[in-house]
Amino acid sequence: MASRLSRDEDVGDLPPTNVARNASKTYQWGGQKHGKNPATTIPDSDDLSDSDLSEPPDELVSDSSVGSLQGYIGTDDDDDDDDDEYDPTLPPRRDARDADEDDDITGIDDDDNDNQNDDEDEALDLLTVRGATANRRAYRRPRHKKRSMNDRERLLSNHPELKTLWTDLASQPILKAGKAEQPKSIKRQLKGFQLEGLAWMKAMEQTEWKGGLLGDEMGLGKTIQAVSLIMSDFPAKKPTLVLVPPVALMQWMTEIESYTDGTLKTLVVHGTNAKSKNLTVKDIKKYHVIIMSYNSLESMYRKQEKGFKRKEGIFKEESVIHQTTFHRAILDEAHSIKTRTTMTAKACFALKVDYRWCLSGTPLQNRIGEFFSLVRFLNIRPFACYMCKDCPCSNIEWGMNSDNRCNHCNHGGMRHVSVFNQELLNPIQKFGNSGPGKAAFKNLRTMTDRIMLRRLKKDHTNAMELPVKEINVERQFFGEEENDFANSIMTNGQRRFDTYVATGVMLNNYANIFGLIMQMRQVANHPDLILKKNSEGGQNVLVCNICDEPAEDAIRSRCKHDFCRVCVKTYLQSSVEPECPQCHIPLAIDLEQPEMEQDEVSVKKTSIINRIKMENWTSSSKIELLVHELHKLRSNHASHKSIIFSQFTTMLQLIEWRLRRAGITTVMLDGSMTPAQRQASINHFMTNVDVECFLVSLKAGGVALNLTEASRVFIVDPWWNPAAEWQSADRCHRIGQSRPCTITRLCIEDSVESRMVLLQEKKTNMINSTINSDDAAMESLSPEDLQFLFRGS
Amino acid sequence: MSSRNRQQRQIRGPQSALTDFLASHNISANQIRLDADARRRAAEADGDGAAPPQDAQATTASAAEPANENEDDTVAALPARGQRAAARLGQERRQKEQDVIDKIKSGKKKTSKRKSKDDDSDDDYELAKALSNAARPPGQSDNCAVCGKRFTVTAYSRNAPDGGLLCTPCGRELAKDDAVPKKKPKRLGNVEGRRQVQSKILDGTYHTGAKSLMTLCIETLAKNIDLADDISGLPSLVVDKIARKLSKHRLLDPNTLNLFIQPTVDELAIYDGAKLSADEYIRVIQTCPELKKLKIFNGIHFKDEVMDYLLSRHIELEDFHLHGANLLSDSKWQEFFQKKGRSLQSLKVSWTDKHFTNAALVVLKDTCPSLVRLKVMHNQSVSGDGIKGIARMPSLRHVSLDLRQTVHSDIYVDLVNRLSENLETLSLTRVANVDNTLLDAIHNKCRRLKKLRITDSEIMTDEGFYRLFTGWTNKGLEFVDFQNCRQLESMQPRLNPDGVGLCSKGFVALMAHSSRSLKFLNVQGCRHITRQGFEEAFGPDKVYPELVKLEISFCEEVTDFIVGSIFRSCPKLHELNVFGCMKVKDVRVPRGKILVGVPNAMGMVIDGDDV
Repeated sequence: MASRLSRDEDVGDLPPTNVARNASKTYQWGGQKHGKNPATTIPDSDDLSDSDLSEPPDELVSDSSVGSLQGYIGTDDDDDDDDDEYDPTLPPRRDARDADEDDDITGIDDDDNDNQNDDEDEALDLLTVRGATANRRAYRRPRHKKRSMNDRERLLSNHPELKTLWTDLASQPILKAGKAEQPKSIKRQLKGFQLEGLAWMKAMEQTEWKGGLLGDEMGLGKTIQAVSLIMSDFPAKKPTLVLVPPVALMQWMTEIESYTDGTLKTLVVHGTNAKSKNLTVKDIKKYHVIIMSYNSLESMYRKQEKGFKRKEGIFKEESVIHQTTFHRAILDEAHSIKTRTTMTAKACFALKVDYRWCLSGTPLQNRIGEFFSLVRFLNIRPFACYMCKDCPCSNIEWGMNSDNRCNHCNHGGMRHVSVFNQELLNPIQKFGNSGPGKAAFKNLRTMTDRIMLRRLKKDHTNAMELPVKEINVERQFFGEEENDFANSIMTNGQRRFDTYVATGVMLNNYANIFGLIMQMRQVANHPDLILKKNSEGGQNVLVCNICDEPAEDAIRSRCKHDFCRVCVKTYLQSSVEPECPQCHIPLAIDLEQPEMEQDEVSVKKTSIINRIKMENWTSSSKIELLVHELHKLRSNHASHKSIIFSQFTTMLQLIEWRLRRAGITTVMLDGSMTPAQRQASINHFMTNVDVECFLVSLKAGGVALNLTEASRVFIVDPWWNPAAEWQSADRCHRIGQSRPCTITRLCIEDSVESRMVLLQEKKTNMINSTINSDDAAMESLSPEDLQFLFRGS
Repeated sequence: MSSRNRQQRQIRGPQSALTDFLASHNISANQIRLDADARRRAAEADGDGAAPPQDAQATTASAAEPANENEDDTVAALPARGQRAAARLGQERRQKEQDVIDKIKSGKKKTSKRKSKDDDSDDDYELAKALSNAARPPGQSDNCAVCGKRFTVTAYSRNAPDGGLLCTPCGRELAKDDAVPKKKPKRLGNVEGRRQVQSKILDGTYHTGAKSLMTLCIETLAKNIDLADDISGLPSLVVDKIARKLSKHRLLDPNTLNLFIQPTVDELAIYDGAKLSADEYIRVIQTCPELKKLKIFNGIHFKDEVMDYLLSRHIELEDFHLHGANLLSDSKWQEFFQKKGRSLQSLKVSWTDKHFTNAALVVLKDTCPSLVRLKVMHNQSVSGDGIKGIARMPSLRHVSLDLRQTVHSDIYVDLVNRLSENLETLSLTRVANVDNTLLDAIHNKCRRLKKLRITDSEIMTDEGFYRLFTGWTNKGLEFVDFQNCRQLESMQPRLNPDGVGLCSKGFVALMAHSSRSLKFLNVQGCRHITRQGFEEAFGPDKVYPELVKLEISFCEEVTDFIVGSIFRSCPKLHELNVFGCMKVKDVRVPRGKILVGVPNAMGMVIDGDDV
């Protein structure tokens, strides 16, 4: 808050007009509640002076703290990002940050990897930013109402359509298309509601928006509906582009093949696919469907827009995908572009497409602002438009020339407002669920009703023949030693937190605070996650992937897994087509290679297992809780398969090692694996009865997987964002499942986790009140939430 | 070389005084060297075929001489006695030389370790190097003679005992125990096997020694089930085992199901119905008219149409167990009870979503007069009203409930009060808000109880448990499960001023009350039972003759000593679970007992072999 004041003083020296501007600027801070800093990217409700743009107008985050947070993510948050397509020739992904439009936490999204659910990002949005704006609101309310009124009038006079915007929309009937016929070219019988969905999608393509958002809950078969849609006007002249998270590349491919019997010519564009090298527009047009991951698209787009560095300077390469005009673009798990300032989102916006579709089971994850990104992609006019207050200029891009003036009307960039923000976001942020906020909520729902089709599983259990799902929280407590350790971190953290609060610099230090929370969460899992971060003091020996003992005479396979020479020799002899016991692709290993050097540096880069001292190792309450649950599942007449989610890969490695030692066969999936390895691992889990556990990193495998062989889900550490947890839980509770499903969330009661669980419930309320057309009380999180995490009161 | 032979009498150049002296006694140094070379070549013949390069030999020769000179000072004193003596001397010499080489080799080990040459062993070192390292020039890569790995040959690479060169690790190994050849890296049998053994112990199916013939046969059959045509002649116990095995391997499908449905069977257990459709269930009912006991797990396709068909047949089920049939509607359940309830003795329904409701339970009391056993698990719909219905069924002896709706204690108290006369089993799972009044009701009313389960209560207190087990006229219990009856408090987790949950006092009372009969005890997560409590309950004078399985996971205070005491007090104990007992570190487990869940890297289960 101190910084806020100082800013006001700065501006106080400016001429009077600027003071007025500043006043309305403060008014506009409300926009930040939704995190992605609409203040800077979109000039919504007022006119920031042009000079203001030159400096980051957001003092929430000092640059240094972003930097430290970024470093933090890089090292601590484990390597879940799907960096398989990372091109070493490219500059680091800081592009969005470089542009001065993007100077708040959205930058984190980019750096880490923008289509991932970024834990920190969300948590911060959730806690700090909301907290901050909530406090700020108190500063600014009453001043210069008149000024904004005037602006509003001017806007309306230039854009009369805004007056009747909502009544017009509401007068449009909600599209009811009835049931489509079972498409002949689809081999599988579609369920009733899927046929309804298909009919709706076809009808939506005939409307002015040419597309929409299929927001069915997870597991209702969005993929098959999308494939049916592709087949409905097959053969189209132009190809269809499907964008998916990397984990689902192969799955889409196989599903398309199985549904259509190979009628569709499909190409997976990915670095590891030789066919996707040196593509030309002509090549692309030969295919019916192009499947690629958001990361690949982002990378292509970045090469085109920002270029990449070579020795000789910056090169730019035209993106083949962006040169091609597609018939239809389908964004699977469309919440990947929830942050519209990221390169991924921009890359999607820049596509040349006739029909646009978003598929997402969780269209809203944290904030209503995320919805804007989808609306923007779908080109839902006029809601996605920026309108000039001074003339009838209305445009989907907020494009500015070098003078910060609009490319079209040449009025100041800040004279343009975003309809979505103006009409929906700001009132909701300002007033919550009362007064104008309530009206905006209603309007939002009016809009979603018309562009989105969302069905819930609970309404269709009978049609889907879904089994029961039960969600439990298993609680246990720390052991004595763990408790001491956790307390020392907790008290330390609390003291620092109190200092920040006392000096009023809490928000300047959020990166530090976040670091503390992160440590507390790691402690709840296993102290080693903190203690063995580096290789010091551990045994630093490679561990064999077959016998789970320190590898004797360690050698490494092509897929970079370590084995005892003897183990792997026997293993190779014992099977005809040996696959890697770790990642399940065919095993390629040189048995005569020299023994691996086991120095600290090389060991540090590998699994945490290599860094612990096995003989003295003690498990943690969390791990034992999990093992105990798995032990209880053992039965002589059933084999239960489980999916185990954690957001820390180190935790997964520890668990995997512990389970293997205990005689439980496991498969692991994390972000560092190639699509082939992922697919092989998934297949291994699905087809092999003996494999009991599938260890999945929440970021890499939380979405789009179809694991119906499993009927148990364990969520090892609670997640900030309840939607991500629902997503993961629904990996097994989906069409095709025939066993009752149990979702178990493991929680250490006397750690920070029990409080996170409570915070999640608050968030759930927000999501339910918008998306699920549920009028539950809209609760916004208060700045006290952060304190709650520390103090528990 | 030949020049050297000619100029025998002149001492100059590389020819040493000793060589000259020997030559004068008709002993040829050259001969000795050639012999040595020949021996070495013979030794290397089977190892590395490559002949040593010529220049290497030359250096060998020049190096050998000063060495000979050096070492043979004493030998030189011997007088020469003609041809034979010379020959004998030659042999001795060879022997000596061999010894010396050995000695040198061991000396070389030191030098190569220290990487510094002592002055006096300088020559020895050179000789050894020359003798041992002739095969490959340094810098080239070769495969190790012992382990077969590629490595780069250096000046320090060692000879293998039987030819070839050794890589550094093998060489080091050899140096350790020079004469002994490198032992194979230790590895006990099949490593996959270890995991499998662990897995079996986890299952509780692990036996040392050979499996029984029946087990073997069943396993073989389960593996090759597609070859089996008919298993109808087998005893029902075996059929059941096969069924379990098949389901465990997820092999039960419409084809394999045929093996089990015979017109004569009166008992059918489908342990995994996940792959069966409604038609298959209808077929079962069609072909097995004698059915009395029907058990179906994961029976999601046991739908209304199947129930309709069942109702239309003359099947009088006595024992019906349906798991996971959440598409079966409530009205069908009621219809079933009305039409077929008369014969029903045991009913177990689980995982039914919202379709098995209070109404169905209320109907039970009028329609199923002979019902003895009722189990409603994982039910999201049944609440207090349904339990009130159950309470009016005096025939019930076994009641197990796991409901997701919150039900007030008073309703359970009422249930106990009304059914107490016959009640043998009372199992209430996940009843967070049930309080001491229930315990008191059990204490006052129940006289025949054998199995008692109350889990996850957050309100019951130690005092309540103490009151229950003190002076209770019920006979000893056989099965007790109080897991997670504990205080849930995140702020002050270590303190428990009100004695919430099962703590020491109650635990000791329980153990005292049921010491003779207790077979199964679960106090998992009762974390406020103190060390003293355990030590008292499992003191030296206490014996629990029947106790077979004990679960004390997540009881923090359990130590190695307590685990030892437990083994002492429970002669029949088979399995002891100690997950999350962080103070259990290193216990000696007696033979035939299993300790599961020690929180270290030992593997999950320790199977006792200590006598």
